[in-house]
Amino acid sequence: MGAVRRRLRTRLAGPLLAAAVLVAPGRALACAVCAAGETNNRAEFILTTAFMTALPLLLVGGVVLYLRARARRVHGAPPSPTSALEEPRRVA
Amino acid sequence: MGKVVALPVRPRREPLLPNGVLGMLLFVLAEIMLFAGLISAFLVVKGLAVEWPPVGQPRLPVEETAFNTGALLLSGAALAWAQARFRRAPSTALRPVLLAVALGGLFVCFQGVEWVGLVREGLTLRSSTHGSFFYLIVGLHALHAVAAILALGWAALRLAEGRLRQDTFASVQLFWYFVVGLWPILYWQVYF
Repeated sequence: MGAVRRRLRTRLAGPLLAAAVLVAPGRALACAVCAAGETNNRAEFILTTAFMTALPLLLVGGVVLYLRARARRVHGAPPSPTSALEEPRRVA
Repeated sequence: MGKVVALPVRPRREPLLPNGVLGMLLFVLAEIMLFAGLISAFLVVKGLAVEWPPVGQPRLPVEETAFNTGALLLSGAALAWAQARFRRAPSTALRPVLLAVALGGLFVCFQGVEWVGLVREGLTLRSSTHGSFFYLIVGLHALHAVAAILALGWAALRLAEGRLRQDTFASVQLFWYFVVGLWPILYWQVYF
């Protein structure tokens, strides 16, 4: 009896899993993005995608720029890379 | 015996940002991303709806919350005033810090009253996506506001004892400015 049940379970597992994969997303519609195919919210979807893509870059970039400006203010401006190549000026 | 050579001591460079402030900055950046994600999801769902707020759901109290927003913005101004006084004489900054705490507390209390009214009118966490998003976004902000008020209260206590350092005060301020600065965006996106 146990062996029959085990065999039945093994045979059913594959089709049941396939059915769950096919049916579940349609039933759940769990995330906001799943409904992005609708025409009336496509603009919002594109806008928020662009916003969410740009935001981390803007945040990290903003922090880097702030730290650079602060470093210049605290430690003084670093020498320019071309300054070593310039001819020393003669003071009369 | 080997020869002992004294190496020149290099002067220690001051950090660009105190560790506490840097840690708070990283936390605030993570929180900005969290709220941006929530607002994005809210906008997509709102765009999908035929009618907003959904039928049978109450309208959010825009006017009352405008007053509330004013109180929160004033608390931010009070904290900026406290910082200016802290630079001159730290002991004089206590009153503006307490004012900021009081105004922040007023904001959270009004939010609580508003929520009770909305629940009575039928807007709950499960009543609609409108309710779910409202309580999730505004509730998360309120949670941050409570945490920031506690941090401000702790800073006020240390200030009264004369033990508050500038970098500690700066990190608490950063947290409060985040709470204050975020609210008008949430108000504009969620309430209108």
